[in-house]
Amino acid sequence: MNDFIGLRVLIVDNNNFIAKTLYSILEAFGVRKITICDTLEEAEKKYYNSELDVIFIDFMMENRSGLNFLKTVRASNADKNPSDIPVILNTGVTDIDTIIMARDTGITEIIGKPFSPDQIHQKMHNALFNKREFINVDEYIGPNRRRRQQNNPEWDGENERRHSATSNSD
Amino acid sequence: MDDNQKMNKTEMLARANQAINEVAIEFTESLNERVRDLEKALHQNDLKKVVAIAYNLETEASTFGWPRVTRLSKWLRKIFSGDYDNKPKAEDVMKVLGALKLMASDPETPNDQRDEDLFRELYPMMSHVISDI
Repeated sequence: MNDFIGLRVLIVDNNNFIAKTLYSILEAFGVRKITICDTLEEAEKKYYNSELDVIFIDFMMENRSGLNFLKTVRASNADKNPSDIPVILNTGVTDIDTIIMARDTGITEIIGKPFSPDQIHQKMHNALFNKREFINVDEYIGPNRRRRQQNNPEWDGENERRHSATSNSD
Repeated sequence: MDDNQKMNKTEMLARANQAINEVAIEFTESLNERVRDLEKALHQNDLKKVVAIAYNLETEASTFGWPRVTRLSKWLRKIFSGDYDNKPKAEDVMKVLGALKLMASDPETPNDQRDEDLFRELYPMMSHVISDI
């Protein structure tokens, strides 16, 4: 069964070639409702006026302002779309500072460009069907930044680190 | 239920790769002209345009089967966008541009061995700026 068939996808990218490639990949996945916006202004209008399931945005949009759009989405209470809508960042700039900045702005997934169909499939599947808890506090709005499960409830052995720390303090 | 609804992941990826092959034709046709635009921007010292063209080539080329074009363009993008502290030597920039021009000169009939040799020659110099190549 195709999980992507009924999705409504927004692509925000001012590189026509990349937008066209992503469009072709999504279309090949069976997605039928795909909109491309090549300015952030147009994307914001679309976000406020149409129901969407997932957004792809380019980091370099309008002088590295792609994440500003994400801030708007996360801080908004739009009627049409919830603030926890999956947002996937496409970026050719993959240095650690950029990744951390994107994570701390509340990005759902990051795809390093150049991309392959397999990466698009995997990230979209994760964003939509392996959702992390959504955090909304003063300092941060976005999916839980911890991807690894903590405090595995199936663990029934001793907590060695805590045990040794207690022993040392005696 | 139509064909799309019956698709599994393998079929989706096969269809997507086919779709990419179609866009790749357009990319290949445009490659030579875009490298010429890059050269022109460099000669005009229009660094903003250099970074923009290099970034676009970097982020597209590998998807369409031109991984060395991605790496050469990434080097150019990094040194001209201020992401690398040391000023590049003009001769190094010309060498990378020359390699790009040669790779893009006849994109319909790529010469993989020639491109690999060109890339290997430039690799030691480029690896100071790009750690992940």
